[in-house]
Amino acid sequence: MKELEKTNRISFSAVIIILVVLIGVLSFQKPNNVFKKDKNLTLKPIINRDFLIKIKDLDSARAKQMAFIDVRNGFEYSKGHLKNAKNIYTADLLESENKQYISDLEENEKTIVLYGSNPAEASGAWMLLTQMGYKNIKLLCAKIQYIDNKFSLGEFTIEKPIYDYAAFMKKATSGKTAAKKVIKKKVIKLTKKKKKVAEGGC
Amino acid sequence: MSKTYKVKKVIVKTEYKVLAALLIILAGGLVLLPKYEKNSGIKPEIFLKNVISTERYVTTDLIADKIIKQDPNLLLIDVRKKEDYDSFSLPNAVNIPLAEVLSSDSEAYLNQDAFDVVLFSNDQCYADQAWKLCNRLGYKHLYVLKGGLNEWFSTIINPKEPKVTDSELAFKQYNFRKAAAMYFGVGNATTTTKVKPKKVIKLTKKKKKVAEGGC
Amino acid sequence: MGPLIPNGVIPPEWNFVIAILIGIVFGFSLEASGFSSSRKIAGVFYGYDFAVLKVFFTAALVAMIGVYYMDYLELVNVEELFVLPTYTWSAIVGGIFMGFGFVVAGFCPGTTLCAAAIGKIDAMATMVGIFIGIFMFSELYDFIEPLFDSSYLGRITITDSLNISPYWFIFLFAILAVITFYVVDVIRKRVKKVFY
Repeated sequence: MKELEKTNRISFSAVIIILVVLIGVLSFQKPNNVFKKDKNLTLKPIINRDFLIKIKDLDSARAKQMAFIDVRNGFEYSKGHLKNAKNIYTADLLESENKQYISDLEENEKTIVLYGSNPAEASGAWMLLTQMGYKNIKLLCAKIQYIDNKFSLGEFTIEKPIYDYAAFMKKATSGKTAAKKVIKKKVIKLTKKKKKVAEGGC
Repeated sequence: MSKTYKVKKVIVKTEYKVLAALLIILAGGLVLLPKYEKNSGIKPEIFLKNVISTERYVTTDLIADKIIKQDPNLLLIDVRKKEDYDSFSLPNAVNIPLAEVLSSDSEAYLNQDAFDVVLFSNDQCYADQAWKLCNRLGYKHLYVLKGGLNEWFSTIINPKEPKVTDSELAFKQYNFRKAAAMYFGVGNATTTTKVKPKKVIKLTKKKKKVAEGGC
Repeated sequence: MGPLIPNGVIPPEWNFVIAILIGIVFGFSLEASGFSSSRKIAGVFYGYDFAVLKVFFTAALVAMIGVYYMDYLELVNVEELFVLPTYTWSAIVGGIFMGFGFVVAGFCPGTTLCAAAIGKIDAMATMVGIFIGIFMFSELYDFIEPLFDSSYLGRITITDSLNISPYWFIFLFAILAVITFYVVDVIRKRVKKVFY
């Protein structure tokens, strides 16, 4: 009889395991938004610098294939925006209708051009969409300015130094070299952080 | 001999077979389950929140103050090209060009708990992009120098003199910047008035993770 | 979500508390499976008792299936789990030493503690031996180091090196395990019964 009592325990736990797995699988929902694993998906266009659309490209033949998305908030958009631009504020990008809109454009093989008041503002949205695997997402390299309250695009060069730093510093420090304090280069020894892991073993 | 006893006896005889079958079925279930694409790094929703937040920007004044005080937790990283870095950079900055931000050598600098890493470039565009690339991988303790080197030069090295009508605070700030400029080697300082040191924001450090095991 | 402690769901201070609890359960299951008897462990080598093999095989299989189901359901991220780094030659040499000690003493390190806890003198002697071994290893570390660090392969797993899907591997492993259980049962029946 004792042997049989053990049976109860085994079949009981087997049933529980099956139930847990079943409930887990049935109640599971796939994640809606997924970042692609490929780390270079966004880095590559940045290095090649082909993620930018210049203002002069807007008049070329390619412009017909472009769809514009204004990533500024609704208030800024109402002040003025590009013709044919749709307003999707960066924070609302992941809403399903907006995602649907973008993937529809992608299917129609449009080049999706994002713009904000400057390239930096739109670059977050650009990176998000690119890393999620959307193709043909570009960034408009221009800043928005209002001339006589009229919306217009201005040239913008990213990463342009306004001074020649080295020359400026040379001039500024000339004659007073003693003031320049040479700080010993900090030697930083860093060990690569192990992937955060739970250790253990037997 | 009751009926339940008989049933139980059957279970006893087959219990190991049942358990073996259960394991194989569960393992087979793994093969058969529909596969879906997994998210890698932090979730897009969280990334979006981080992008919109301006928490990552630090001002040039704060960084100047930290450099002068030789804050041991500060690590400056220059994401411009190597030539630019060689001609001029901030004191003690480390050069990781934007193209190499994701390389394994850079990971030691970017994915760590010991320093508050401040990224900078000419304007904040590249630094911001580097920050975003790292943020989506879940790296922590990263900041962006607001306005980059352009802002650094127009505020710290070459500050604009406030108007007479400006507030006392503006003068204080101006004096600080002048003093800081002198510290960074600018000789044409007209005043050496020191301002009271700014409060250094203290960030709580993550505790070291210890988890070792053995049998 | 998981692993819970590295992801900050449970504060790291709980590490050792949880470790002690798991250790108690582990020790209990070792004792409950009868592994504190060195005859039971030696039985695997002489073919009269395969409980050790069965228990550990089952444990590995259950853990594998469980972890991958949890990974599928996004409860734990398999890639963030700790994988012991592989050093080929030091693993082989160390394995030989360990296996030798295993047969001679009739205990594995875990069961030594179990058996010592229930008062077996040979287990206590083995424990002393383990500490002598640790001491010798530490003293000879400079001498052993080249071997210890050589042929580093990184944190790899079988599915990495064979380049197969982990799901298929688990399925094949499950079938292999069941076949093994059957075969060792057949062997056990043929070998003369030993009473202990």
